[in-house]
Amino acid sequence: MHKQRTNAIVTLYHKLGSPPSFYRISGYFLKWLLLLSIGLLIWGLYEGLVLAPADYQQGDSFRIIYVHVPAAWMSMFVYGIMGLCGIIAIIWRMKVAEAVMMASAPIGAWFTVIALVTGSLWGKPMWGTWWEWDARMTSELILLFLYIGIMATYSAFSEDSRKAARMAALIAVVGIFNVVIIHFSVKWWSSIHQGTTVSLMGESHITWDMLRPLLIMAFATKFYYGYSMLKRARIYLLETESHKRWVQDTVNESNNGDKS
Amino acid sequence: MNEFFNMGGYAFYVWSSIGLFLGAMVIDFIGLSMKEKTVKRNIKSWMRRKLNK
Repeated sequence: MHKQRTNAIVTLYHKLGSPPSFYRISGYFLKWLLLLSIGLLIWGLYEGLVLAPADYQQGDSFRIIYVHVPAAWMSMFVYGIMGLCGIIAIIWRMKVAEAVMMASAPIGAWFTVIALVTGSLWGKPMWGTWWEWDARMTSELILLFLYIGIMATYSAFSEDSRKAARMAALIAVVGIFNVVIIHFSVKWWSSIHQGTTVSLMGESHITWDMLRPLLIMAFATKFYYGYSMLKRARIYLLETESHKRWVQDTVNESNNGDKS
Repeated sequence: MNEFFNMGGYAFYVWSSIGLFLGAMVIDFIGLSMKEKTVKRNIKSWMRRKLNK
């Protein structure tokens, strides 16, 4: 075997690739991710619902933006992570990538449901309709079906978790095209849904007092995703490696912890 | 205070949205804690059965 120079990043990659290390390292972050997300959630909602001025056209109904847009962003962000993990799972058969992918699905689906339903609740008073088959909404609905499809595929092959994860990964990877469609849908087919308000690269069409709570909520949802995904990935690894020594040690340790 | 809850006449739409958002987070959170307990319990009982054999 030839000698390989290793650096910190490579070492971290290998560590995070091994289920016991991933389990141990992620354990340090859980509490902080949860606390950060709850704190930011309270702060963001307070700013958004109380401090931010009402919109000159939409009145107070625009405040739905503070849950609708962060949820919609997360529905795409989480799917992007799943697609990435799907590629890693297919090419390198990395178990932790399978865990992260499957652990992202439920919370991603929740964010998609929130985006769809709050969009509907916003559309009724502003557009006069609960639902319109426009490109943005239709592609977001397809995203929900992709999430559900990925979870259903996994459970259909549940007797062999490795095979199940690879089948689910295939759907996740193929479905990435839909995220691109969602992003550009308001540009390509201009319809009832409004265009981009907040942009990373270009100019944002919103005042700072209204934008700040939105960004706080965006971070709050990111941190909650971090918590939910890591915790679920840990459970996934315990379940799929339940016959391994490290899992049995971990479970015994937590047992002693509960008693004391 | 009443004005705050009234949301300029959009109370139903705004509060349902916030409620759904927070409700989803809470359901996810509780579901996770329950799942963790069940999985750990199952592994423990499996280990016990293996020991008793």
